[in-house]
Amino acid sequence: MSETSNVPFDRADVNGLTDQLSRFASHLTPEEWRLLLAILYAASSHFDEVSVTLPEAGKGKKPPEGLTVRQLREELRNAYKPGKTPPPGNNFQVTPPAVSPGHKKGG
Amino acid sequence: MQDDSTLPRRSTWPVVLVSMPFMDPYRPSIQLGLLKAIAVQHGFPARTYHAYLDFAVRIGVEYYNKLCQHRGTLVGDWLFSLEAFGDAAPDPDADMLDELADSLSYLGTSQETAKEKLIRTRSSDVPAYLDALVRGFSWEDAAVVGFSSTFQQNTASFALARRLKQSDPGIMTVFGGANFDDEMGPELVRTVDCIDAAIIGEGDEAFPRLLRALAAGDRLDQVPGLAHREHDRVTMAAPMPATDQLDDLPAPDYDEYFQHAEELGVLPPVGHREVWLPIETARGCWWGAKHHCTFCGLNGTTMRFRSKSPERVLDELAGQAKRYRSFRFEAVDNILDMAYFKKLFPVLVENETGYEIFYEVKANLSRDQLRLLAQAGVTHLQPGIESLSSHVLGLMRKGVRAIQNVNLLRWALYYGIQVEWNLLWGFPGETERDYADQTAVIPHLRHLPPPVNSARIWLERFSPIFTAQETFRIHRRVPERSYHYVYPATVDLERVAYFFDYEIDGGLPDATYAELRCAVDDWSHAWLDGRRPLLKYWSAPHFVQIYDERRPGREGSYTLEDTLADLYLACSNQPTTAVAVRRSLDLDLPPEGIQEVFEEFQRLGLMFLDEQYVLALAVPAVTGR
Repeated sequence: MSETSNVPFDRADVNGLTDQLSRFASHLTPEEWRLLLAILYAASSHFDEVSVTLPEAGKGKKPPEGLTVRQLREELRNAYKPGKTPPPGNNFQVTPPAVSPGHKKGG
Repeated sequence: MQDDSTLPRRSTWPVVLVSMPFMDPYRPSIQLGLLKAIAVQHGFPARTYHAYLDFAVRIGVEYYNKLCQHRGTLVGDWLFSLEAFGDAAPDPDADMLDELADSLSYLGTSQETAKEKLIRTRSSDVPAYLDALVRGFSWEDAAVVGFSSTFQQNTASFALARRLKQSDPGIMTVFGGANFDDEMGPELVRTVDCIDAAIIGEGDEAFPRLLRALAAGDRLDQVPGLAHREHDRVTMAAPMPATDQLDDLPAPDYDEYFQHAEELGVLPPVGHREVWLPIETARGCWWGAKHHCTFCGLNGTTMRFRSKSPERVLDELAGQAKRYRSFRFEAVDNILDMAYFKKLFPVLVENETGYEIFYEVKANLSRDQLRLLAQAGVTHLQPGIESLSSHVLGLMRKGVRAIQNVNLLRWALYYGIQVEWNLLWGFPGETERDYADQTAVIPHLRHLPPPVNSARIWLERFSPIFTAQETFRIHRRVPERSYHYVYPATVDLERVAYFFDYEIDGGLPDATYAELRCAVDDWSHAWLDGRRPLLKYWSAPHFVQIYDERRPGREGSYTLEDTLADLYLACSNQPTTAVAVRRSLDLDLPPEGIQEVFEEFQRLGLMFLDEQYVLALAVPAVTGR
């Protein structure tokens, strides 16, 4: 630790290292990536602002920038709005029969 | 048609085939229809008498139907026991109605009223009905009278046979049907005087063989599967193998059912008919042949699966619809032949036929299969759902998971297929947790059709729980208590009963199911109300709107965008897993994280989780796709 504690670095160093690490971001979960960046920024007392962005790593679809499981769950909980809609005109619900065909089971 | 030497004599052996109470008055008997067609095919004059219609009209169709639909307690058989057994009948004083008063609620009246009505029926309606049957039909033309007996048709059949034998001892009475399978048949032949012979097992070949033997004057002990008394002992030749070539069987002849039902005013004589025509497209159960569901005794000794060719089914549907002006068909099969998805249902779609068809199915059908069934005119299904617990389904060897059951209910609802299913309990090895979990999930399922029946399982003859009772820790297995009030003491009920009372070592008490029963009642009532519960969704790319109206007063909408919408839609078509969803959506979220989101959906009642499997619960709002 004594050798590393005196290594000087600034915002540009952190940004550069972040860029390098972003190559491996697809191997990490969003939470792990967020944690790694938070550690890096927190380790630097030179910076007032700790902000985390997800890199454009991996391929295909992925959650929007910065989205975590916790945020998805929160978003889901907030997706609800109470209120009743008018009765639909062509309700497709079906009616149970008065007498069921088929073999009866259970007593 | 072999042995043509008896052909000239066959016309002198006229046959009457009878179906006695209790049978559904709005359906012809397929047993009678098929055996008549077979007898005629072999050159024997044959008539059918759907005599249950007369009794339904005499006592009132509504009251009759309640008796008819009931299973378990033998109230129907009890009504005819005095006439069937005379002085040997065990309950002249109607003690059974006191003993089983708690079992009469299905009659829809107070216990006292039900008791009075049943006593009146037994003492007055039944004798008058039998008198009228004997007087009102030309029995003198019959050499052989055949009775088909399933569930509660035994004693009514014995009662008529007894009167016929009294008036003409020369009439030969032959019995058959599910009530005579295996050891039940020989025991009834041994103990019930008015039975001359019984065919054990399938009768398609044995019945015409019996008729040919009678016409030829041959010994009856050469007829395969025929049990009959000879010098005070019952002899029986080995049964024939079950019929393989179902295509060779004729189409059932229902002419006399419709004629009689119209004469009695049960059916209107004009226009098309709403009757569900019984049609048999398969016998046995392909699932049961591999993994016999532990509680099921339906197939008796003939589990092996056989089916008619799609071409034959198409011909029979078309022929019967034209012949009887009814476009509704009830397949009496125990399970649907999956090959029909390739060669029968696509043709029905292509032909644009206007049938309504009922089938019993295994519950693991996919959305695509249900869509095809709906397009082909399968409007009614009885899926083998039986439980909403995968643990309980495993105990009953059902071969499906709870989540597949729920998926079937969703897509059947979506495609407008009416579903009738049962929720059963009382399986050896089940736990209280199994039922607490089902009770907890039912509020999420209120938009899906509720079970038509929820109850403890019966112990049925032929079921694995019956045949391997030690494996299932069954003890104190005795014939269901009402048998003692129906059959004389000379009948060995152990050999005759189909339903049994029992106890399970470590079995759960009835109280365990009380909350589940309440939840199901609540669910059923919600469906009887004018506006049924809803949970439906509309979707666009990366956008879903769910409308939730499962609980009055708690209506609301969920708006899902982007990842949440994609996750929900990915779980709509069929049960899936977090790993599969992650792969299909190529998400950067870990499976565990996706599972956490699914659990949140579950907490909101929007998804059904079953171990690692997940399913969206809402049904698409736009129909028919």
